[in-house]
Amino acid sequence: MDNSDNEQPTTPPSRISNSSPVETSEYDGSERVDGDIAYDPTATAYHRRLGVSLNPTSSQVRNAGKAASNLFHPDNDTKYANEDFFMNISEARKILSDTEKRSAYQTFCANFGVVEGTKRFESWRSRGEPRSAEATIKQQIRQTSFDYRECQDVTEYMPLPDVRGEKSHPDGSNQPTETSSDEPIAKDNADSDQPPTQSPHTNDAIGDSKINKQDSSGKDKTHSDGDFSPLEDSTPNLHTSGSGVPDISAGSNHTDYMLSGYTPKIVTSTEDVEDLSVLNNTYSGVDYVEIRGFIPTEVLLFNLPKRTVSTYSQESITGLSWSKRVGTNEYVFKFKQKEIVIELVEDQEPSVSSNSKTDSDSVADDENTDSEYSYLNQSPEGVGDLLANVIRYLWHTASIKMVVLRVVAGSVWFGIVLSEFITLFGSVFLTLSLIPLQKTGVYILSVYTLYYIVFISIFGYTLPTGNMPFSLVLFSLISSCVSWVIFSSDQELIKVWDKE
Amino acid sequence: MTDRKPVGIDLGTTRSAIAHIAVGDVEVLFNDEGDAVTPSVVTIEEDGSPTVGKTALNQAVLKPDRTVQEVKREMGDDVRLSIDSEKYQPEEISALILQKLIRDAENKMNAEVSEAVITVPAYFGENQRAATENAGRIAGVDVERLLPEPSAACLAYGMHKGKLNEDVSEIVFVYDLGGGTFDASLVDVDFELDHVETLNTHGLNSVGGTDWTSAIAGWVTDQVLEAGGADPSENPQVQSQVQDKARDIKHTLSNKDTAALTGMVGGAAVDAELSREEFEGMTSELFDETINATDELFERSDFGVGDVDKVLLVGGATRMPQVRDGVEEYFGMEPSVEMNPDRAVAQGAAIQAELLSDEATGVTDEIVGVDDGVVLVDVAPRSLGIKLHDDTTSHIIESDDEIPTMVRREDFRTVEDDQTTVKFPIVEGESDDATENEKIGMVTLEDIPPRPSTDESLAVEFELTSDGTLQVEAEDLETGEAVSSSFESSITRDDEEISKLQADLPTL
Repeated sequence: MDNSDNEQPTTPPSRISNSSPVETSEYDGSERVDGDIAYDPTATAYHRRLGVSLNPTSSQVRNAGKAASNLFHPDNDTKYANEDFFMNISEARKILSDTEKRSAYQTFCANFGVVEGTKRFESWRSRGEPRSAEATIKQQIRQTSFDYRECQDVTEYMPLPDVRGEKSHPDGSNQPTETSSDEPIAKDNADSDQPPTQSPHTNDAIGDSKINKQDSSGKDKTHSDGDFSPLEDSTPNLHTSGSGVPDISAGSNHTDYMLSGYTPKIVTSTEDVEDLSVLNNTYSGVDYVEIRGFIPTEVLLFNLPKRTVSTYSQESITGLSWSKRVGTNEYVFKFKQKEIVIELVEDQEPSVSSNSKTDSDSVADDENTDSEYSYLNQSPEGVGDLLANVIRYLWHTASIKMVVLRVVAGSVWFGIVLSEFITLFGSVFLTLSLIPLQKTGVYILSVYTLYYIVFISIFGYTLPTGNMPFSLVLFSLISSCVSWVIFSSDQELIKVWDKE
Repeated sequence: MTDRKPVGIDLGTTRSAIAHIAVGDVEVLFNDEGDAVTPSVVTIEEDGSPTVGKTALNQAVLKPDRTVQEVKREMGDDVRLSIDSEKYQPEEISALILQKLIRDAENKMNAEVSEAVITVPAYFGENQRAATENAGRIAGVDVERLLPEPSAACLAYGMHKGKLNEDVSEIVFVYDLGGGTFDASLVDVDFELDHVETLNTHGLNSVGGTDWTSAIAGWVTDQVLEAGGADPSENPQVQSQVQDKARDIKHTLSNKDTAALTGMVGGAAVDAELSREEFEGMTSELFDETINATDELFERSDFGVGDVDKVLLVGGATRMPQVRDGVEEYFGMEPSVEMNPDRAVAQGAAIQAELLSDEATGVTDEIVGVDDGVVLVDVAPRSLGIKLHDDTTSHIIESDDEIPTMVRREDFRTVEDDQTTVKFPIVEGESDDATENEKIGMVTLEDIPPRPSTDESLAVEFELTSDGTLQVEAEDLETGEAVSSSFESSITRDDEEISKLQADLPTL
């Protein structure tokens, strides 16, 4: 996440001023070098290297490409000259200015997000484009358990799409319409020209905040793509009649707050998400919201002040996107066509810096919040709770599911095998008991021996934890039935024979 | 002679020029004979000493078997030119021309040449570039860069325009018809960014101004035979005479509608007249070839003929009215006459030399009128690839890729199971049939971990640096370790070889 901070626009010269060339340090690519166009030769995604939008016009590509390649060309006298950067820029230009290559590239990005998409596109090209881009993507989607569609990446720099409506979100239909507060607030928002309601809570919190203000405010400004408006743009402040929650995102100081005093609450979720909890990192003093169960095998750590999402495993999760609903305290996370909406509800009894008691608006909703979610902040008490949490956590990991499945399947298999043996030994016993009736006994015994020899030689018995072909189960079931039929009919024979 | 200055050299097929940055402007340095251009002609005298330039050209008629002309056409080929018992490689002959240019330039500048930028046709391949660089090394000059001629012309043009302070960007088409080569280049000249960028380039290494001369020479031969003269094809001296006459007629026809052939040639008196129409009829196929190459360039380019803002004519052969008119007709606009077609290339090379020079005096800044100088972006003229086992080409670097560039491909495997060494040729050219492309070197990969031949486990990386040298590296994808690889260019010469050639080189 650190490099995302580097991508903030500093205030560089509008053109590279070479009248006072900077000779002190080598350019490492981290600094934005142009006031208007932000080239980033170290970025993975091509459009970011050139500082253009995801779907730039050809003249945008040409102009930005020319300026960037001019800047980084190794022959250049300036500190920006760098062969690797130049080659990165060249590659981006080459792909984005070629209609065919660009369309293939964008298809990859649309399916895997820009970072993962770029990597997969490059890999596809380095293998000599063995098949069409579409075929390759289809195959790769089949091979992966994640659905990356409609996703941006958290890894490279965080796009903060505005979930304002269907316009900015193609899958707007998926958005929960049950968040009834959405409409009126949005409307309020547009019509209202009352001055921003400074949240006293927010302002008071600033003093205690350890968050670097520039971190978050600068972050927002990096998004000039057009596709996404900044998370917290110049939206006028909202009054909070809808939810009764003071809008911590409004106003110029909105980014300086800590989560303390708020409780995360699940508004809607397509997944069986576990309870949210708030963690405080004692070293950084930053609060995180833990989201468990939304992405299998991973716990998301949502760092609100810094607007970043990370995981315990430190692995980047390609395809995760999130955004804030303008005018609400609701944060929408999307992954693999799943969606969860989390609302930050002000605590009834605010901790530390909050003095929201004065905020009378929030009373009505707080009741609801409290009754349902007040326990969320509590740590588990006793061994039982702990164990329950462990099991619950394990259940959400794929591996425990597999173990359970295998145990169940293994038991079934073991049962079948057992019944086979019972049948076998039963028949042997029967045969032995029927020794006087030589003919039938030998007949039954030979049938079963033959059957087991064939059975074992074809399939072999495997351990219950191993793979269990369905055909094997079916075969053993059928053979059990057949043997039973033979056995019972034999008894008829025996009876007949007996009588004789 | 304590000063050291960078120079730019236009090493042409028929004529060469050298330029440097003087206070306030780019100056083409005149040779000792007082000419701006030096004929690229070398005569090896009976005593083994070489004569270069105008004198050698004048002697060509008298000593046709001791004179070497148009050596540029042989560059990169494995040929030996024998004069007396000595055998000369094209690089050595070129080195002599370079030495003459540099010696005269040093006299004029009263300074030593520190380093040089030598121009090559844009469509020159790796072998030809390597040979040119070797020529420079043999001549004892530090070759800073090999610069494509059209790019050089555009640099000179950009500088010329930049002085006028016109903040615009132009798509410039360079029609460069040299003595032995034709280059078509589409260049984006951005005066605002001081950025000169070659977009596409195409060319013919077989068509040049001398082919027009040869067409006239054919006509002259006919006249000579008709008048009962000696057959030039059997007599080198007559052949040389015919060439001389043909060149005169060509130059005359550039200014006049008719040219007369009179006097004694091959022992016969000839008196004939060649009109411009006749001449153009004889050579229309040659011109059409250049137009076809231009068509191919535009087919490949993102830009069309209509996008061209300016047409530059470079090379002495573009003085022919046939070329001027033909180009004007093709583009629907009059070609620019702002640049001197003979000098623009050397001027551009001088600018680039100054820009690249460590000892830059800052003069360029003044001239070019910008602080950070001009950046020139060039492209790979032809695709570079690998000749595979089945004689097909796997193109790695594509033509028109900007250089420097690095391309990695990961879909290679060995032919046999557990094969630990691979040897494959590097080829240059667009054809999928590798045998049609030019082989420019061999790569040997060693210590490949043994594994089945079905595993696509080898990655090959091509890096083409700014000065056009190719490096090839390989990696084993499964272990992620580099496979020891060595690239041996067909024409690379080590320092030892160069110094040997240097020692053998006759002194001027």
